[in-house]
Amino acid sequence: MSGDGEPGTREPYADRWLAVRSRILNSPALMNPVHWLTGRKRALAVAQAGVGIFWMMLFLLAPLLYIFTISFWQTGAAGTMVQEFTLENYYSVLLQDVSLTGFDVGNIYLLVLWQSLKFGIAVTAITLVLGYVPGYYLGRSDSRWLPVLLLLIILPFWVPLIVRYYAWMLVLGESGVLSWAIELLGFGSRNFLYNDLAVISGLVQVLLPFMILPIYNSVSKIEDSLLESAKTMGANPIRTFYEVSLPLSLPGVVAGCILVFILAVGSFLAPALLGGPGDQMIANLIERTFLQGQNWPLASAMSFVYLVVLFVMITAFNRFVSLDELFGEGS
Amino acid sequence: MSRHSRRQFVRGTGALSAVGITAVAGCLGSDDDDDGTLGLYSWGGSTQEALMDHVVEPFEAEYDVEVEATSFDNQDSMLSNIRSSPEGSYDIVMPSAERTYEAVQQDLLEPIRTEDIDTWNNLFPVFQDLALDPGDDAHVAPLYYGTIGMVYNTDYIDTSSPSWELLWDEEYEDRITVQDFAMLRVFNAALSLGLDPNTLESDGSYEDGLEMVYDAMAEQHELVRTYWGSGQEQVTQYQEESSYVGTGWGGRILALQDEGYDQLEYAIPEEGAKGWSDMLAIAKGSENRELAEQFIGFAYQDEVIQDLSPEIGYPPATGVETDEIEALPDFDPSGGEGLLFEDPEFIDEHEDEWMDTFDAIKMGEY
Repeated sequence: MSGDGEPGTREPYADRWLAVRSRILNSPALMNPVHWLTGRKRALAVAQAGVGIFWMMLFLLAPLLYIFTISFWQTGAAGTMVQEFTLENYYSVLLQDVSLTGFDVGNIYLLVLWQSLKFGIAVTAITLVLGYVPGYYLGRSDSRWLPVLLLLIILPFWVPLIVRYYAWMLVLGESGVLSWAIELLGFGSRNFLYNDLAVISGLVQVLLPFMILPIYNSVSKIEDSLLESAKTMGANPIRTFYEVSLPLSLPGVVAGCILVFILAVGSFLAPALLGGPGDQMIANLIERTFLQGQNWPLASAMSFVYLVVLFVMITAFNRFVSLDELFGEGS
Repeated sequence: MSRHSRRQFVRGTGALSAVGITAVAGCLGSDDDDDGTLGLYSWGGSTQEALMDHVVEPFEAEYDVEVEATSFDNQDSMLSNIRSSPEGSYDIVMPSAERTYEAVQQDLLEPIRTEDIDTWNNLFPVFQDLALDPGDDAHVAPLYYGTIGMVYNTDYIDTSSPSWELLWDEEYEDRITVQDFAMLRVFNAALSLGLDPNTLESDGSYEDGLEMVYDAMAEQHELVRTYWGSGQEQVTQYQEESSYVGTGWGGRILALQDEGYDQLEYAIPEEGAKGWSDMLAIAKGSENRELAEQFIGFAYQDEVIQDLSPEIGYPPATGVETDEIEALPDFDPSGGEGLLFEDPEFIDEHEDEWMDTFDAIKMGEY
């Protein structure tokens, strides 16, 4: 301790303060925090879960709750919000221009949502076809190059998304690699950008790793002995694949499909940069309503309906392929 | 140098004597606090650099004050910062045309005592009484202006008098690009149809005019390559020759021309173009109101603004003309008369409906 003067001259208060201070400073929690924490498993668990829960509350649930709340407010002049309850926003999003008898849907939100879902389904199907073989190969491979191959799949994540889409524009563009190659072959058509196909191909190249990695993960967990027993019992490679490998790789397929589908349906940059005048997707519609339209309540209602639709679809998918069971077996 | 040297000389001397008078007035007395620091909250980047070099530093030297510069990168954050800070936190702020109405309506700006600014009359008449600025008082001091004009590639389009009709010409099907912004599409279609973009009235009927505008937008949609969203997307369209003609920003096209894209031309079509302007304004509760007005007066001097404007890339809102200024793509020889500003109240009233219909057109549902 530093020179505190003579003990006799001290006030009782100062003595007590000194005692408290040294007790705090010498407490096990401060002297050796790691040891102290590991000795208190429950405190540690609460602390760990608490950080996660706090994080979720702050950055996911609180904003969602805010969006949910303002989706029932009214829009005032010059982009202001009037805090009075209304269902008008949900009416606009769900029922406006919808004639239930004639199957005539003129509701822009629903049309754009439907178009986004179609893009999502197409992208998911294509990535599944393109991603299954590499995922399966990587999962069964014992090559010493495996880490390098996996690294190559993760490598694109090092490049920001917007740069990857711009790179794709350089591939598909007027003076791009593809049009150059096609011209070499003697064909003239060079119109690859700004249409549905450009959006879908862009999304496929960006989202492919999200399909390959979960498939790799579940295939790599299949025991060699299972495949060997199938072989010993006389199954040919094709039958072994259909009856053993494929069912056991399904958890990866399902996880990959869900990831790719969610990311594709909600994509923003791909339609904005690669799409043509008619390639509208839901994220772009919501952004425009928020910013250009300054209509926060309506945009919030749009966001919420979109969230519910995705949730319902994934829950239905879950029922259909009984996700829980698959993940239960897989892990 | 200038082709109007005599006029410039007269203006120049006028401005100089104005500075002298203001300086004397400054010594005689002022209602400002006397810490001698003026806050400037402006656009950042190259705009701020140009402001520092050509306005702020000479002003500091001449008035022996310090200017403390901060910056924003979009109008919405600027407005909300002023709104959520105590009055007097800011002195000079920089609203653009599209946010002037909101800034005044939300009572964020002090009126400018234009009679105290000797160089105020250097401003073109259009900018002295902007329709965007509601009420009798002036709240904004326009510094430079630009347009949302037409860009075309002279390798493919040969025209001596560019017209918006090019954006509806089937010859350029799939080679046209315009901004993805319903309000601008309505404004543009109205201009090409010869309607007043701020009423859309055809023979006195808003509904009839609007229907013509919607039809024109739907017709254009069939010819459009893509709707651009950001400045970068715009540049890519013309740079890559994905599109040959469309709408754009003069400053961006000037930058492309400087890079060697000489085939690109920027023009204000004969029917006119939507104008915009960046302004200086005085934040509500500023304790340096008089100094701020002196700053505005200082910036309006010919010698100051004629160097500032080419560096920013947009022509000045005052009458000064040099070869460099006349060569700027947005330069309007009619002194800003060719610029058409939007009517913010009219837009606020109808924009939701326009956006819905624009989306319907894009989805093939119109």
